[in-house]
Amino acid sequence: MVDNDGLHPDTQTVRGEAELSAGGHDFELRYMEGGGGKSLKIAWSGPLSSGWLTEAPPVTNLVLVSNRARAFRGNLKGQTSARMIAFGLPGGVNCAYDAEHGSFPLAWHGDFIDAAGSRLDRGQNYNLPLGPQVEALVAGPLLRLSRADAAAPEFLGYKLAGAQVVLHLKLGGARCDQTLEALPGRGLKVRTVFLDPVPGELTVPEGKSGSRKLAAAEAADFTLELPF
Amino acid sequence: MKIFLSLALAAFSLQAAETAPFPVLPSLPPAVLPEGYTVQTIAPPKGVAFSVTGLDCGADGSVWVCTREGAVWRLKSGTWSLFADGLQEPCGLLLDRKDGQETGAVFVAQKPELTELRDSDGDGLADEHRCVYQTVTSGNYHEFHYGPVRDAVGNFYGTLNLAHTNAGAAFQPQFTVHGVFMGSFPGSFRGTAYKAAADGKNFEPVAWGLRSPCGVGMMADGKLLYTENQGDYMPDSFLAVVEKGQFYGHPSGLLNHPDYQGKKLESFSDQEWAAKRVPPAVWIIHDELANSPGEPREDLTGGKFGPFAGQIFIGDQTKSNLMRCTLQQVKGQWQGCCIDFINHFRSGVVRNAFAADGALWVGETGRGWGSVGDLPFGLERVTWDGKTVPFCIKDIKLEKGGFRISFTKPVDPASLDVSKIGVRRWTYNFTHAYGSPHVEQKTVPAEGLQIAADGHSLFFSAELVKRRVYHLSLPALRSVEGKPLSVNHGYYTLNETLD
Repeated sequence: MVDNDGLHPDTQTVRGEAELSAGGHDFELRYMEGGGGKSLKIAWSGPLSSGWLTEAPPVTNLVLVSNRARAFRGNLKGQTSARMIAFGLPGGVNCAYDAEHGSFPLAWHGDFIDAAGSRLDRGQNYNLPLGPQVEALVAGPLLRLSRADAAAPEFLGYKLAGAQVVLHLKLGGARCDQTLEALPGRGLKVRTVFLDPVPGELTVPEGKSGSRKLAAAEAADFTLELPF
Repeated sequence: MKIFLSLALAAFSLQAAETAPFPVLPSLPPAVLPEGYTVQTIAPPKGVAFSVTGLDCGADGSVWVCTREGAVWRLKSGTWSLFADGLQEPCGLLLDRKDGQETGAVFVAQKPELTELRDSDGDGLADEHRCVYQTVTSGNYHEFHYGPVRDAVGNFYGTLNLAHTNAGAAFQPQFTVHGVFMGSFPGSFRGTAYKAAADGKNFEPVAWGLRSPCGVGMMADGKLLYTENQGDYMPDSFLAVVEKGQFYGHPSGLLNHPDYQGKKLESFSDQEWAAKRVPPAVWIIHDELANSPGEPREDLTGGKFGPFAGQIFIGDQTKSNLMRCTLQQVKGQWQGCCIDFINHFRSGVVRNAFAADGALWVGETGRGWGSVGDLPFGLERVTWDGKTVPFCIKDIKLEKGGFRISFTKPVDPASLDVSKIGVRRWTYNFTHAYGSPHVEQKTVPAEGLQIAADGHSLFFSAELVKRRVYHLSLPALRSVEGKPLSVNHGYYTLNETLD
């Protein structure tokens, strides 16, 4: 059914197909080992499987949200850096924060994450946001200083606070907390509170792709509603 | 009356044993298990994948585990509870301690950072996830982050795996220096051991040239240890004592080394790289001992785990066994021995940690690379009964002109003559190839056998050549009770000789 004889690396894979009746079936696997690392892999797929399986699936790789906010870190399809943190909020509101650039390149409604990309085999594949439609929450960074040399906020951590998530950030040397709250079916409410004096005028998103200036005096505690 | 009392006590202690504080699975004892030792297979939390990649033991008897699937679990009073999830393939866990006391915080080595987890509201779940410091990653799946360990003043140490070329177009390493599989990216400090201050500041590489440094250890005297996996530029697996500024063999991670800025690393020959590398302390022999060694852990139980106090225990992900190593410094060079100990566990051994009661907890996963054993992952607990001394090679040390092998129990001198001692030695090719065969391998005669008067050690001489691995075997040897050794051979890495 499958012939992958000879000396070759484990990246060389061969496929075969067979029509099987319902129920259990035995198969025979013959292999040889030459030099180098030892490796033998077998995977199967059927009409009801979502991809190639390498082990019996006793556990789900779906990460789902019930009544409290969850986080998930790992490579995500559509990511803009390797430092993505996805947040799933109760009410089916999800987003992914790019801790490298301070942006939210992914937002979606519905279920949270399919983590099979990280959790099967060596974990080489992307994890998948489960929403039917995945879009950017805003274009570019959510929080930035207006001055030309402004850098992305430094990521200090996050708190899973019941149904909400609080991002701990540092912008221009000033610490601030950014609270993410679900607006089920509508989008995300983001409240930003500076714990240190606001370091200058901010540029914040307005609508899907616009922006506006926010004077330092107004920026100490401000809330944005971001529809998606 | 006296008899009645002792019977009542016996019944009580039996009941206590039956309500052991750990949920266990039916056991499958290892084929190689020294007398007096027992292995219990712990039942993992139900319904979750449980690839153990980090392990620490609390003073209250709790056991903390992080899994490659991104969760932190706590086993306390026989019950598992989740502490955190959604983490990015953590490959190390350490409880926070100040002045020897646990603070309640837990450090985990996620791929892109070291994270401090804290339960600030007391509901049993970590709500605060604080980034202590970043470890730059490209997203390449093989950029594992191992550690942390801490020194006496709280500095953090860890190791960063190189990236793998078989990772899909989006994550191809930009730089491989003729390496078959392993590469890196500018600015990433991949392939280094690093140090950071207790407050997370001053992150800096302390050693270079690492490839797949899956195990990091800190000895009580402050020695930083790391284990390496055989592969490109790595002729075999090894245990090394990390020394500041040294190069351990793989040039792909030198991309960001200050001495190599503006230089073309591809222009150096294999011989030039070989000359720059520091010899590892203990070679861990591919196929014979281990193929993918994990965490090195010093036995600080003071004898609660048997007659091996102060030795370094290392597991292997491929062969699922547990080995013992000791170190010896000769003319400034670290070298030492490695002896198989328990073979094998239920899945690939990558982590191990001693609990306060002297038990050794063993964390296992075979996912992605395959391992010996009947389970895909596991957690096992090894205990010593506190009285039965197994007949083992305790240690192998170099002496002038030969080796001294010591034993846990006195040997029967009549069982051994010098012709029955096997001595085999070899070296390796140091090239960019994936692993090396044994080179210049030969059997050499043992001579001048002297068995100590107390029967606890023997010495023999053999032709000693620097930079060789010696395999020493004593299949004929028996204890004074007529028993064979639990493992009748061991390996000594000879970097330097004694004059």
